[in-house]
Amino acid sequence: MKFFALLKYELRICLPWLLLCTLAFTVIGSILMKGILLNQSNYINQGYYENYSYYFFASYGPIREFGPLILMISLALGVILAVAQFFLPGVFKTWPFTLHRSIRPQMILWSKFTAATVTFVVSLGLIWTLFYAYAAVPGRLYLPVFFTTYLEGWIYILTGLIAYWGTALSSVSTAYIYTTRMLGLAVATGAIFLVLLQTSITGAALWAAAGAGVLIIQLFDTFLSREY
Amino acid sequence: MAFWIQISPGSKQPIYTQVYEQISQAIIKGDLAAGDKLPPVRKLAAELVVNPNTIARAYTQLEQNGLVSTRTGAGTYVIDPKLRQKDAVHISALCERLDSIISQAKLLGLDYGELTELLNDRMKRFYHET
Amino acid sequence: MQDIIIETQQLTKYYGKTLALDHLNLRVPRGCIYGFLGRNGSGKTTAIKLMLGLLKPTTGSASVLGCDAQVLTPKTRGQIGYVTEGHRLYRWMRIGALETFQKAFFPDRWDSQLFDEMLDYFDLGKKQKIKSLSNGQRAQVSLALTMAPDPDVMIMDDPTLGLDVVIRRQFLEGMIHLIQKKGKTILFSSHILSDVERVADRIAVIEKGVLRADCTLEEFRRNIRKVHFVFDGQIPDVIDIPGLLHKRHNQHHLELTLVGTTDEQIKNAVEATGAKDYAVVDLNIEDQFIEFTAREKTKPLFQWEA
Repeated sequence: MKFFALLKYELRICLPWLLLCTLAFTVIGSILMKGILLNQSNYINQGYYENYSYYFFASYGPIREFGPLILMISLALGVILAVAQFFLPGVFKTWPFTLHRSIRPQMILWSKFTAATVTFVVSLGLIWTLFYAYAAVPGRLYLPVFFTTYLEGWIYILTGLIAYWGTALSSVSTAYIYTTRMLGLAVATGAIFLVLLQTSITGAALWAAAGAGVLIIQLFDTFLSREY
Repeated sequence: MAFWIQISPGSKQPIYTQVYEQISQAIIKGDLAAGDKLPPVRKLAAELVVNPNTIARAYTQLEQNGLVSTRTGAGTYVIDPKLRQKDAVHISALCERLDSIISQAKLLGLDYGELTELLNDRMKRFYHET
Repeated sequence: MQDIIIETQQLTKYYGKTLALDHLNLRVPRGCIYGFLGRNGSGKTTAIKLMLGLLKPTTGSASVLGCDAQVLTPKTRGQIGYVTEGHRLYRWMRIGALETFQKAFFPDRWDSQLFDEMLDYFDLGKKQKIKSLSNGQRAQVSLALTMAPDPDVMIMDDPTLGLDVVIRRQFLEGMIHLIQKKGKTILFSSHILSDVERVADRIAVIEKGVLRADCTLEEFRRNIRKVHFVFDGQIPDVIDIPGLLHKRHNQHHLELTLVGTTDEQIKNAVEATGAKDYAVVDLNIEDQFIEFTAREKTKPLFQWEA
C-alpha cells in the first residue's frame, strides 16, 4: 500500500518524460524505418554482410541503424529522469518531507527505480519491440533481420539506465570536493563505454550489469547515510 | 455569561495571573454571580488559544482563594460570598486602600515605626485585645 | 508509556569547524508543549533535524519515544508529526493528491473529517496546486497534513516563520486542539515570544548552540526581573548580588537585571551597597528574553546626546 503510494507519485513525475520519449522515438523511428525500407539497395552495395564496425556491436542488417537513435534517447532519458527524481528534491528541499515517513527509506529508492524502469520499458522497450516486429515480418524487408540486433537495442536501453543511476548518484552526493561528487557520472560514462566496446551481446550485458550493480550499491549507501 | 476575558501576551503579567484577575474582577463586579458556572478549562483554553494548564492554574488559584469551588465531573462554580472562607476579592480591594493610606503617610514624612504606632493606636479603638 | 518523549544527551554538532550545537541536554516530558526559543541561527533547526535523524550528531545522541533518532523505526516515524522548515511540499501536486499520498501512510489513523474541516477553515480547495499557494497557505496545508494522522508527538520547526498573525494564531489553535487529547506532546521552535508564552508549558532558550535555560514558562517569567537602585552619592563599582546578569547606570541610578534572585537577596544588596531606595520591575517576556540573551555591551548602538 505504502509502496504503491510512493510508486504512483514517482510514476506521475516520470509520466511527461515517458510520453515525450515515446512520441519522439515513434516519430523519429518511423522516419528511420521508412528510410530503411526505401534504401535497402544501399545496404547491399555497401556490403553490409561484412563485419564492419559502424558502431561497436558485431551486428548485421539494416535494423542496426536504430542503434544510435536508441542510445541517444536512452541516455537523455536516463539523465532527465535522475534529475527529476534525485536532483530536484534537493533544489526544492522536499527530502525532509519525503524521508519522514512510516517506511524504511530503502523503499523510497525502490519506488524511484521501479518508476524509471517502467518508463524505459514502455517508452523505449515497447516501441523498439514494435519496430523490430514490424521489420521482422517475413517479406517486409528483402534483407535479413537478426534477433541479435533486437537484443542490442535492449543493451542500448540498459545504458540509459546506467546513465540514470550515475546521474542519480551524483545528484545525491554531498561530497565537498566537486570531483568526488561527479564520480557517479564518471563511473556511468566509463561503464557505458565498456559496454559499447564489447563484441558480444553477453559481454555487453555482463558489463552493463556490473556497472549498474556498482552504481546501485553506491547509491543506496550514499542515500541512506547522508544528511538532509 | 456576561463576562469576557482578554489576554495580552505582551504584558508584564503572566497569562494565568491575567485570567485570575479578570475572573475575580468579574466576580467583584457581579458579572459572575454566586452559583454561576465557569467555562470548562478545555473550552476556555481553546477560545483564548492558551495552554489548558494555564487556565487550570488560574482556576486552582481562584479555588485556593475561596472564590470558586470545583466539583469533579460537574465543573467549577462561583461560591456564594457568605460562604467564602477568605474573602480574597475584598481583601484585595482593602489592600489597595491600605496602600493608598501608607503612601500618604510616607509623603507626610512618617517613618516605619511612626506609622506602625499610629496604626496600632487606631486599631485598638476597634479591636479589643484579649 | 514513557514519561520522557524527546531526549537529547550531550548532543553536539559541528559543521566543519563551526559549532552549531554544544552538548545539548534537554528532555521533553509527555503531555507538554515545549517551546524551543532562540534567535535565528541559534541552533534550533539543527537540534530538530538531529532529533529526526536527518542530521548526524558529531557526538552525543537524541531519541524520540524511546527510539534513537539515528535509527527511527517506521512505526515510530508514524507516530511523529513533523512540520518541516519552510513547509516544503511537492510543488506540482494538487492538495487532494497530496492528501491521498499522505493518507496511504496512515491507513488506520487518518482523520479525514479533521483534514476537510481544516481545509475548509483555511479556505483551501483540493484542486489547488501547491506551487500556486502562498507561503502561508502552504503552511496551512502542511499543518493539516501533519495533524490529520493524529500524531502522538508533533515536532514543528519554526512553523510560523515569516507568516502573518492570522496564520500564527491558527497554528496555535491547532496546537491547543492537539494537546487537549490525552498523552500528546508538542515541541515547537519559534522566535515569536508572545506565541510561546500563550501555549508553552516549558521552554528552552538556546543561543549560539548552547542551552541557556530549560525550565517551565512560569519559572522563566518569575525569575528574570530588573531592579532599580537609587544612590545619593557615587554608584559603587562592584555590586555583589547573586544572579546578576547585566548592570547599567546613569548618574545616581543603577539598573540591574537579575535571574533567580530572591527578594531577600535584593534587600541584602540594597543594604550592602547603601542604596537610598530601590524598586523591583517585572518584565514582559520579550524584554526578559532580550535581557537573558544579550551580551554585555559598554555602549549602546544608538545614543541620544543629552
